[in-house]
Amino acid sequence: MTILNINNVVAGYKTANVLQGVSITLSESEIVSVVGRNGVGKSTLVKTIIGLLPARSGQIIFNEKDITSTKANNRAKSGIGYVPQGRGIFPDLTVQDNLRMGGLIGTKQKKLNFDSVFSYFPILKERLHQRGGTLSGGQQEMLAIARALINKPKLLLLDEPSDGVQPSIVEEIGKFLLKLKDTGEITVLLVEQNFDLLQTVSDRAYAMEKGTVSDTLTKEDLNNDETLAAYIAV
Amino acid sequence: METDALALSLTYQFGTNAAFLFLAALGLIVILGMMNIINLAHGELMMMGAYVATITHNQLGLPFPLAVIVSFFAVAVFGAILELLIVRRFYGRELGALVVTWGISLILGQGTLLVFGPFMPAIKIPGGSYSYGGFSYSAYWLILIAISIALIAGLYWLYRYTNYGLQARATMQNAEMAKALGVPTNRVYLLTFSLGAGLAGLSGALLAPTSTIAPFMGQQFVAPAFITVVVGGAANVISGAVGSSVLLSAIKTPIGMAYGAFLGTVALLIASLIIIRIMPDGISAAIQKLMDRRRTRKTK
Ligand SMILES: Nc1ncnc2c1ncn2[C@@H]1O[C@H](COP(=O)(O)OP(=O)(O)OP(=O)(O)O)[C@@H](O)[C@H]1O
Ligand SMILES: [Mg+2]
Repeated sequence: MTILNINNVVAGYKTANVLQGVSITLSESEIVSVVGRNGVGKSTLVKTIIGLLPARSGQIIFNEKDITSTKANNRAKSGIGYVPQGRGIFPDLTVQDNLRMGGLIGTKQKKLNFDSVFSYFPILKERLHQRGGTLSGGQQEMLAIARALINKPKLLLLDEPSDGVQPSIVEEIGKFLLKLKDTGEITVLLVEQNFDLLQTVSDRAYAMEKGTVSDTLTKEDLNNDETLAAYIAV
Repeated sequence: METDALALSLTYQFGTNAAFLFLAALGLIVILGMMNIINLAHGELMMMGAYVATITHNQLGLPFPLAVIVSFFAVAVFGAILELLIVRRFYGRELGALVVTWGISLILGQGTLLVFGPFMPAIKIPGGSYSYGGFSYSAYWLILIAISIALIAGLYWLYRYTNYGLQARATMQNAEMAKALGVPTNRVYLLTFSLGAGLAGLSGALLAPTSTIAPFMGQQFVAPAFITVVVGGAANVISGAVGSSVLLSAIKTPIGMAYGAFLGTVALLIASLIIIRIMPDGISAAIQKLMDRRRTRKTK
């Protein structure tokens, strides 16, 4: 079943449109990646999906509902988790309060399932009372993922989780994504430039160029370093 | 015996000075400290609270405590209207917000002068006074000290333990991310500004019996309010405001007692300059650094 359908979307900033008619489709419990050089509009696409940027034309259908003009806070409530590039941790909130923020998304005020995210990222449990801003880059990335996950979204948007993160933690994030995939409960849209991570977790990928989808890559294409390099390297 | 009386009086003076600084800063803690809006209408919001209390108490005969509560809500509603109509257009534009709140302060001051004239009959100070060992103590100031402590506890609870408090702190740190986590950030800004205005009104009402009720009475609170909030810093506005009112009062009180109120105020100003020089992000940032070091050590 299709969980996200983006149809010919145009979006961007005050100065100019960045996305010039992007169409992508994700099916349930897939991990689909978006690759492309710096500045082609990958982050812009993710922000348009969560609703931080408005779609100036085209359509966004999530879970069979048209959310094109739904506000970001309500999209989050309807089950989209967002982990921005640069992580977006609240630096002066403790790890616990950062996680609580993720848990407030749902209108239902049931007890938060901290244990479910600690099982993926046990380090967060040790750091529970530290401020988010005092964590290392990799720990912040795990916190941002855990924060998005704690409310059990149907769709997880991950924007360059390997950016500024030490290799051992990139590997850990890869293992986490594979475990997540095994649960079959969540679909992931992964923007990434790290070959290892892309090749470990992606089922397929879209390649972007100058604000449009220029190609679709199969798992075999992704596993071929040279093919992949042609889409990412400058 | 005599030193006992002196120590007691010093403690009392210290308490009143700290309570005054804290109450003067109360609304600004939220509006400048949390929202980073340089609100030059702060004094006029306090004046409004004082006027609402004076009118409801002196003319409508409401008991004073009730009049104070009415002032809180009246000014909070006024603050909400200001936010919706004007202030929300100036978020992220510090200079714009500064000019527009200055304009609001002029309109409020002159408007009050026009409608109510230059003076209002004062509110009688509730409660009597005690004397001990040659020093006298006002019951009302003792109550204000107690109320300040209760307000500190209340604000701490609000921002630490409620969902609104968590969402507000998160929104002030990263509004876009908060939105992406389901927070209706416009509503958070509205509530926060309205709460800050209401608290300014509340402290204006509480301080009304100690002051002359006049259109420009708010001015006397503006400088101490800004000093308290800036010295406190934004890392944790509540601990910052508490820390700075306590510290500044600890400097002002003994010097004021020994050399007179004027030199006490001069000492306070010099101390603020020195503190801001040593801790540019305020007392709360210094406290935070200390806590970070302790917590990080514990987990290693
Ligand atoms: N806030 C902004 N205002 C105006 N233009 C922006 C803004 N953010 C990004 N852009 C521009 O939009 C284009 C696409 O940026 P975007 O961040 O989507 O690229 P990206 O593919 O995510 O790049 P990277 O791999 O470096 O993260 C770039 O040309 C960038 O300069
Ligand atoms: Mg990007």
